[in-house]
Amino acid sequence: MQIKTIQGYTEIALIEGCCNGNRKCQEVLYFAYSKKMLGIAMRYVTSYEEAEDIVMEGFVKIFKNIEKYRSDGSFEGWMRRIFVNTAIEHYRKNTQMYALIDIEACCEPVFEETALEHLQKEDLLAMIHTLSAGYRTVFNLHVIEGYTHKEIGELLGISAGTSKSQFMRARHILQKKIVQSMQLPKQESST
Amino acid sequence: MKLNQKQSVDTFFKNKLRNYKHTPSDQLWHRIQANVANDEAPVVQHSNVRLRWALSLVALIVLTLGSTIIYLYTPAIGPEQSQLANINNAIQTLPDDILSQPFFKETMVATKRIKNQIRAQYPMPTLSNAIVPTPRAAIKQLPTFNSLKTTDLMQSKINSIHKKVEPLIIDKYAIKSNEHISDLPSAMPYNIAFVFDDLKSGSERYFTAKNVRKEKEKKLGLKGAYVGLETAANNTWILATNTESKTQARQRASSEGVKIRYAMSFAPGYSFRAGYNFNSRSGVEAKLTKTSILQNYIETRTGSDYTRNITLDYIQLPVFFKYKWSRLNGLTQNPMVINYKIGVQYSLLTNAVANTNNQFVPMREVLRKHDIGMVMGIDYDVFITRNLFASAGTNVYYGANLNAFPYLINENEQRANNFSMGLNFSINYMLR
Repeated sequence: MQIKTIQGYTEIALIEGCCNGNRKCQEVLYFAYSKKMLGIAMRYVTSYEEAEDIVMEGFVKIFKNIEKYRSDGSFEGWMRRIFVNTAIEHYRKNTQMYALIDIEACCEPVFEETALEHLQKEDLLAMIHTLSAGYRTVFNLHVIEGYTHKEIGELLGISAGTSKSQFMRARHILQKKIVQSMQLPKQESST
Repeated sequence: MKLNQKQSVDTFFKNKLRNYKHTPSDQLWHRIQANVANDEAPVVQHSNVRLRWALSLVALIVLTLGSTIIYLYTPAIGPEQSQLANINNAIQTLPDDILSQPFFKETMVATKRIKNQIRAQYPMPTLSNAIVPTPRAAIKQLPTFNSLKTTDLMQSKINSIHKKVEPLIIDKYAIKSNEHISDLPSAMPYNIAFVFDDLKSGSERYFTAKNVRKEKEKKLGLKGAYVGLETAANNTWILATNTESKTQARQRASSEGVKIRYAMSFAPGYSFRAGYNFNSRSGVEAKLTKTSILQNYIETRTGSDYTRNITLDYIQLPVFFKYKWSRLNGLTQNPMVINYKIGVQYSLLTNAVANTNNQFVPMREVLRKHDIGMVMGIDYDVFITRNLFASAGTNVYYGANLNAFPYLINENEQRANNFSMGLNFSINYMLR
């Protein structure tokens, strides 16, 4: 089994160091994962400052609670869950979840599959940022993090049906954005 | 086709963004360090804040009273004790015809009606300035002179004047020469005249209140610029404003198993100071100070002790307005002054470190670099020579919000303010 090392530290040594409050270990851990965790946070909020706040809160939680990590899963996965939860807390603090009532299923925008290849990560992030906070959170949790609608419902305090309808609405909007960005506004009847 | 396209959208977003990375700002790590180092605020709780303020107030009152008592009970030049004896001797040796003259010139307080009587009896060119139109108000000034004892001879003379110009209210004041002018109280109504005999030369001198002030300023000689070097010892705190109540804070601390014991923190300060006295009553002063704000405490969390020392290094620039009480010291014949100071202070944060169990975390990036605060103080100046003076006093400083970010400490503590109070000592030189 290959032992993961970060800047000369094994992951276990880093975790133990952080458990003991070792500042150097915390710093190594931060610089190893901060970019990726900021990437997660930026999918949930629209401003860079808010994303940094989430990352700050997330790392503080990790450093304070690192002794609670059990080695039965990947450490990065554990960290990732903390950042996602922090982003959700942030969302719950700042917004209200509204049930979706006006899904526009009648007209689905369609685009050529090759159009996707031209889109960069930043383009996709910008599209996600145009979604409302509720749509954005549900879309991220379902598509990127792989949560089921039932799990999302429990996390956000909504029903699974609401989560699903919000997700469909979010995807619908993103499809429209993709079409707009490619300048290929084809319409096809959905019936 | 459509279902596939939806799935491809999902997969595409997932593949592209699942491992999306973005570089954080340089400050983020400092913010995280500061939060980890200060997950409980390095601050005083509500009850402690009140206690500190109460102690500060008591200290300020004690220092104010102390310096005032020193000021008042230091012997000053005046016709008291041995000097009064000299005056008495001088009076006793004067020939009768002089005694019959009003050489005990008085401050006369009278109505306009009596003014003419006084003029007729004592034709003095400056007498018109001696009349106060509101006798009752002026009478209140009389106790000011009670410390000036009169001899029996003086009193008999005064009594005779009283009889002649009844209902005149006459205060009495005789001095050996005008060198004692500085002993007069500063706050005199403008239109009271003081008439003095120069017993040495036998000539009479007349002063209005305005003249008296002028003479006093000349005698004290405090007008002008000065420079000095100062050292200070300050008791410092970083105070937090909690959004939660005291009960809530106690419950939270209890539920989280957190106990904080605060320790006293003292920081030295070194200043270059320069000022300008407009006169013996007022002046301005500025300082350039290098000092620190410290906060020390021991936090017990889950059974472990964390010794925490917060050090904020500052360059400070306070600017004061000074209100002064000034008089001549009877022992040295040099001025002594109490200064009441109030002003604003600009502070530049040059370094900030949180030390937790000897692990040092830089904090400057997460705190405000610039701080405007309020400063107050009292200085007691003693002139050693006509130019050189030592000054000792106390100072209090309260700064603006220190937190550069909301929720820096934790979500219950949104503001932090620097607070210090201390003693200062300086050596100064008047440029005249």
